[in-house]
Amino acid sequence: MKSLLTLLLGCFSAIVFSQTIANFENFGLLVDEHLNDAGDTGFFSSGNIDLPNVYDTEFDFWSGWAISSMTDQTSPGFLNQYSAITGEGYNSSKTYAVTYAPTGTSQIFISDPLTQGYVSGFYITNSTYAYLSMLEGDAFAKKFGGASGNDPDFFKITVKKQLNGQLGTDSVEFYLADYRFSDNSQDYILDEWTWLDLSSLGKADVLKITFSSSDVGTFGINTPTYFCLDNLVTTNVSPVSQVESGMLEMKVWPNPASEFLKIEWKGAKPTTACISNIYGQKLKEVSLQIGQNEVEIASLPVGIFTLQILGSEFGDSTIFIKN
Amino acid sequence: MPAVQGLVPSLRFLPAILFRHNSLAVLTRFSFHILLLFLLAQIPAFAQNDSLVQLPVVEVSAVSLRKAPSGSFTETWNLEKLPTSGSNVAEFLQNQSGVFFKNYGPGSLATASVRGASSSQTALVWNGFQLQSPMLGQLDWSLLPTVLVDEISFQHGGNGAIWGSGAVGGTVTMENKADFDRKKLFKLQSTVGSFGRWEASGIMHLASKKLASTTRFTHLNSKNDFPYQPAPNLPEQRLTNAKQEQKALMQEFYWCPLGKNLFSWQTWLQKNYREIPPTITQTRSVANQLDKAVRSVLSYQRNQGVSVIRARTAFFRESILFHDPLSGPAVPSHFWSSMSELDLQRPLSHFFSMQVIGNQTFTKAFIKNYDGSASRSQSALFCSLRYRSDKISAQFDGRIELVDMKLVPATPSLGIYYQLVKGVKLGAKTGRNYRLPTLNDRFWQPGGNPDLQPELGWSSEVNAEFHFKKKRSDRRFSAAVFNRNIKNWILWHPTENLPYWSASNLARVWSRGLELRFHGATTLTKLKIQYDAGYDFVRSTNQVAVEKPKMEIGTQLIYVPENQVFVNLGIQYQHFGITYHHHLTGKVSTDLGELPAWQSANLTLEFEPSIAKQQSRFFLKIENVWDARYFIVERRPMPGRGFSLGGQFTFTKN
Repeated sequence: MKSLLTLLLGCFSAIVFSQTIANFENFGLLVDEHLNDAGDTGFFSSGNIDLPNVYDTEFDFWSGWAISSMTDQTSPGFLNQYSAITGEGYNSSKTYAVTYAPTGTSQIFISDPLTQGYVSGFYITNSTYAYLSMLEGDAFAKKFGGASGNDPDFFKITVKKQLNGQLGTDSVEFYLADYRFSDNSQDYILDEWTWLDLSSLGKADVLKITFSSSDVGTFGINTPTYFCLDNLVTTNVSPVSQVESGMLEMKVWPNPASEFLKIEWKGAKPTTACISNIYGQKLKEVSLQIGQNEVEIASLPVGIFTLQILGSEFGDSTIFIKN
Repeated sequence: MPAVQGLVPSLRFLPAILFRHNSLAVLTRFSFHILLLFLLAQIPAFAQNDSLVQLPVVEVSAVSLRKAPSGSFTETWNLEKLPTSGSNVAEFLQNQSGVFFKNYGPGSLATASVRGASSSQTALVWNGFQLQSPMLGQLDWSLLPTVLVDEISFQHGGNGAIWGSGAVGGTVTMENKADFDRKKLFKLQSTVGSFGRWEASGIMHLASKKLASTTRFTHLNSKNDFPYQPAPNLPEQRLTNAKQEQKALMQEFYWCPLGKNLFSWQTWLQKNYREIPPTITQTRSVANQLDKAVRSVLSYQRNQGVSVIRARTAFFRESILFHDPLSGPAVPSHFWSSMSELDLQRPLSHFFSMQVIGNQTFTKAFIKNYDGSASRSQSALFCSLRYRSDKISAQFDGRIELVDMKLVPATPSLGIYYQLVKGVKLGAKTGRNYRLPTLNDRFWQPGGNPDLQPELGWSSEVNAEFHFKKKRSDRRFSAAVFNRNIKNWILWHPTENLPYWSASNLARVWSRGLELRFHGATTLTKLKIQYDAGYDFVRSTNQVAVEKPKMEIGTQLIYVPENQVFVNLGIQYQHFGITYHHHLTGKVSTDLGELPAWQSANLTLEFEPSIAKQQSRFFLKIENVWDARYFIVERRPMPGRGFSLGGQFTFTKN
């Protein structure tokens, strides 16, 4: 009986949850190669995403996205524009994508938004070109921190979703470099693959990415507007459960989750929630403060659970999956 | 500038019945030269009967109506009398006339902005021909050694009718002059200075009654490793990768066989290697640039009675090799220009004189971004009519020009001087001026726009000069008020939906302002005092909102200061002299924000003993006497106090 239930649970999970990862290995690049011309389609496709590419055949210029397996971590300048500062893809893979946004904005299209329109996130790092430009400065862009090391410089992207032509209001910011700390030892320029969590944005058919930098002039951003991307994950289930009622709003993500569950509580005062299994058995009570909370769920077994606000007259609750 | 691929850094009308040729390009290029010879053969048809009076050799030359056009505010300097005013033309003009130079540092690029115009809207003319690069439209003024020329004139304001494209803000003319009076002249100067600088220059001149030869050279070497503070609270560090080596040689020949004819030939060879230092927000730079130039002018002038006929031809070949090993392979570029002019000047009556000049220029430029090469053919006709009486001098100039078989809008101008009373002269001038798009603007790939229109507009000015001369003093005060509107201002900007920048006629600029100059000299027995001062107020504002580059309506153009002041004071007592120069430039807006006002001063001590009855001069120059720390260009520091010590020996025989 128990094994039948577990089997049913597994099937339910499989039916309920599926994800696709865009890792760009499908292009079959050898080491130190790159593709900057997507051809007639105008897109590089991998997983559940299409990356727009503009290539000018007359002048051999490109913008948008390119696919790369370049490994040069040391050469400065735009001739090394396809390399990631890590010298490889995420998790020592060979291939990744690199974006160049001359106008300061980049886009990612979801190939199949109807069935897998939720973007969990992707791994991100700096290109070697942008990294070294921020680290050392070049003829056009400043060394971050300036001459004294104290300049509060930054280089970031802001990601928003677009669904059915409507731009979402929520956004996710990510700093590719941050020198705003009063303690200069904390200043950093990203040089490793880091997970950028986009699960809070919800369903999307396009991701809009905007660059910002403290090094801005009359002609726009001076910092090279590049970053590298790998392993973009899309799912069919919202990674964020959102409960709205006339009085309360709660966001829960990621979903599925394995170690921690993030809960944003927008109630007027702190509250308590409980986690129950599908049988209704209470497994855990958690206190929620106003704002963002993090709840440990590593100790829970794999399965489907309910998170319910205690004392809510509307019985606000949501379901999440522990994997 | 944002990181873009292939960055942009910062150049027939003749009757076909004469000749037939399959290639229109060859016809355009060479037919004018052939017409030139054809017209020269017809000279007697233009001239009056030969005068019976043998004209002295010195009267072969006659002043061209282009030299000091009526109504224009013009300053002229004899460089022999100003030996320490600057080793290059940028330094000289800044000291003598307060021209604003966007100076990246010693040994680095220096471009001019006159009356709020851009760096490509100031013309520089050498012996009748413009020197600006047809690819870039501008010139590095720090590469013009003053030892190579005899005279510099600065015509403030637009003179498009006279000089053509680029003479919008002002025109600087440099001239070499024939000297048959001095039989022998040897001049050698050597200077050593701070930051690893040493310079040697010299002039060797030999002349007889009919022949003259002048050889000039200069060799400059400098490390430019001056200390600077990247920020007020940081320790000093030395500038790196800033060396410069410059070599220049000029050879002039003059031949005056019959007293009425003068043949002139000047050839200028120059090579300049410089390293490009890092900015204060850049850890290192290994970039460098090699500039080479070969310029040659051949002229013929003939006095035919009261007429003067001049024929000139010039060939320029210049190259730039820029290399930044951190960014990629070296980028070579070069161009050559072939230019010819036929010039007829004659009085029409007691009051009227006229001058007609036909000019043909062909240019070809090479850089990989042109997909081979780019070329331009220009044919121009200039006419000037001057009326001169005791009180009034009025001049009408007109120019029409064909560029690649297309007519550029005609550029007329009208100027007038009026002698109100003795010592008081009023002037006014109005005219149309233009600047052709450069070859880079039109043909750079990607982004060049072959359909660009010339920058075009009208400028006007009124000026007044007061001259008071007494037995022991000579004072001159001048004031000019100007106004100029230029439309179709060319800007490079991001191209929508494309990954590169393009050139377009985007902006319109309104420039207006005031220029004040005061010159004086006083002699007291053995003491001579000379003083100059100047003040410029310039408002040069964008009148069209532009998104990128971000330019709002009514904002001052970047790197155009509103206020500039300069003062020169020179005292000479017998063999000793002292000169003080002080310069103040107001704040400027830049593409990154704003640079504060700055000031700098130089002090020169001179001793001019006579050794073996020959002239000599020893000097100690202290540059940036007050050790000011300032920036003229964002992130490019200027040196603090520096010294140079030198000596000059001159041997002459008349």
